[in-house]
Amino acid sequence: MTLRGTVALALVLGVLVTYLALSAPTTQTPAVPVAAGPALLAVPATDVTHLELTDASGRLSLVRSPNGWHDAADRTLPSGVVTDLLDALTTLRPITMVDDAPSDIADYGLGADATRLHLVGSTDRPLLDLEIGARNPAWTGLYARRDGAPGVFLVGALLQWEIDKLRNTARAQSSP
Amino acid sequence: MRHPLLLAVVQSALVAGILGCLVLVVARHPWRLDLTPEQRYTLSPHTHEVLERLQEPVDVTVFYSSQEGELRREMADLLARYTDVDPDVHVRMLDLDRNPGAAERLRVNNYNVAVIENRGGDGTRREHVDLVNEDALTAAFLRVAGIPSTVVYFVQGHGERDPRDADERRGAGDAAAALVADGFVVRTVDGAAHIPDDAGLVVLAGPTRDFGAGEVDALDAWVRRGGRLLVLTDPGTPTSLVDLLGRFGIEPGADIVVDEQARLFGTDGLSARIAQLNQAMVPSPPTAGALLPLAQSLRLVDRPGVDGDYLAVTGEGTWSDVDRRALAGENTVFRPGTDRHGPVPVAVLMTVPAGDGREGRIGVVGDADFVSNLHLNLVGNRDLLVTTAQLVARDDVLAAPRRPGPARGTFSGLALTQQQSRIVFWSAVIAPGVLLAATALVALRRRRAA
Repeated sequence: MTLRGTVALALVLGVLVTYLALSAPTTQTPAVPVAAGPALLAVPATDVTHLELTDASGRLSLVRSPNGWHDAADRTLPSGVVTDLLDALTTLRPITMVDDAPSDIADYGLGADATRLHLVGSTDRPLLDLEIGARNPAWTGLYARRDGAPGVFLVGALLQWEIDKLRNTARAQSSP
Repeated sequence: MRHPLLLAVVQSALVAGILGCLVLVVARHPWRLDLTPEQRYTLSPHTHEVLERLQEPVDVTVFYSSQEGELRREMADLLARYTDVDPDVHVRMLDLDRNPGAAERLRVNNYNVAVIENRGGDGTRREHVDLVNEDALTAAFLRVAGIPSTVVYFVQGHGERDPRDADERRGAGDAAAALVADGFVVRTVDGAAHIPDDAGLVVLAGPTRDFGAGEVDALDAWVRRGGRLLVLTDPGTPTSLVDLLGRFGIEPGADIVVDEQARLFGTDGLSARIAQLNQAMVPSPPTAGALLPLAQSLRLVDRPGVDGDYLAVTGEGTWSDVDRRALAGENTVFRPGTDRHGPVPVAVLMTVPAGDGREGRIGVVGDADFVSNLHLNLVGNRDLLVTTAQLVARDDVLAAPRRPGPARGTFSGLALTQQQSRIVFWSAVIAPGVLLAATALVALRRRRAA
């Protein structure tokens, strides 16, 4: 085959590639279910000595003492509500990696308005830094990111339940 | 050429690239050959008809679950068939969890939901489909195409079939679902004395008890004011209903249509097969004729101000058992001079001018059993119900065959005439048997000869 034939082949290939590029389907690649990995909190709940929960309604800072968990005003919270949350964190795992590099995190309820949960162990060792966003549309889970990583994953809605329980209990404690 | 080896490598790479691109092109434009008996992977003619009527592009957005890959593939495959038929149907498959913003905009809060949108000149029409199948999708396409829904009232209280009843023999739940899939809204009304204002069609589905005089007058007046009435009546029509139909020139035959030629395997000869629909009313009728389990004939007589014609007739070989001997279990043989030869009319459509350019209509089918849950999905029964309802209620009829639902009961979906069943018997039983016997005979002779 001559050079002219080679050019013709290149032209045919060019036409095909252009056609394929222009007619690319809009189907989205499905989200990838995450293989059973470590729980959100990879250490025993008893290792946590300090919990900080921040959201639009304010900041709740709790410290563990031999008598239980108490807040900044030294009010003691019923121990169950905190340990329930910590236990949930030791069992909950990311269900699905939703978006590795989200372009608009506000869609997930993440960013400035998100709830933030920060757990610290003894010797001020950070154990978990969780950014918690909105519920997914089907209300089966919550969008979240952890430890400053950009990837958004879905975690079971039990987490929201335990956070609401903790916040409501703390609010009831602080009201006169 | 100074570098023949280099040229050969380049050419090989180009050919490989072209082949790869061709594979991708074929993958994006697959060619289908559906060999399943029920044409499971082919859109029904009804869906084709609906798609042909779409004036503007339609966007379909499906929100799937990443956990249900098989269902996602099925939905994508089904929608690809729509796109193949009408390139103006644009499909987007979105992972619900990855697209909460789009889900919020389209008000979707569940997995495996499709949103059908038509951005026509009069604004966006949007429909949600929770169970993505052909029936539901096509019904949604109809609605976004701007064809308004017609409210159907099934009158209750006189032994009629109930559209809310799922019972196999008594109920007409499947009939209601078939009407809903065709853009009707199905409701019930107790008694016929007061027809609701929003009624676009009133159905009397096999009443067995008499109507009150007030109800008959109300139905009469309603049709003459431009109302639309569909009557399904088994042999033994209540007297009051005979009176009502008589006012519009329709006489139920009070007989039984006998159809020996077109029987289902395992049934008697009293299931009458509709051989022909009036092509002036239904220009492209469904190919499969409906099967009426126990039908009576209908006759038209002149009435001033009423016009109409037969809508459906049975085949040449059918006849009318005028005194219903067949019901008594007697051996039914056609009696010349007494019984009537086919074709036998079993459905009629009458029109009554109502002033203001409006027109009242009354459609009658001489059988009500065919809309029971047991019979609706047999051969063309669903098509007969929906086509008749459309003829009575609407001016724009979609008559192409729908996708049949799953048949209930012990009926075979296979309907053969006696001649066809003989052919099947000879070719499947007798011919192979003779061949086998001949082979055995030859083998035996050879062994003896040896």
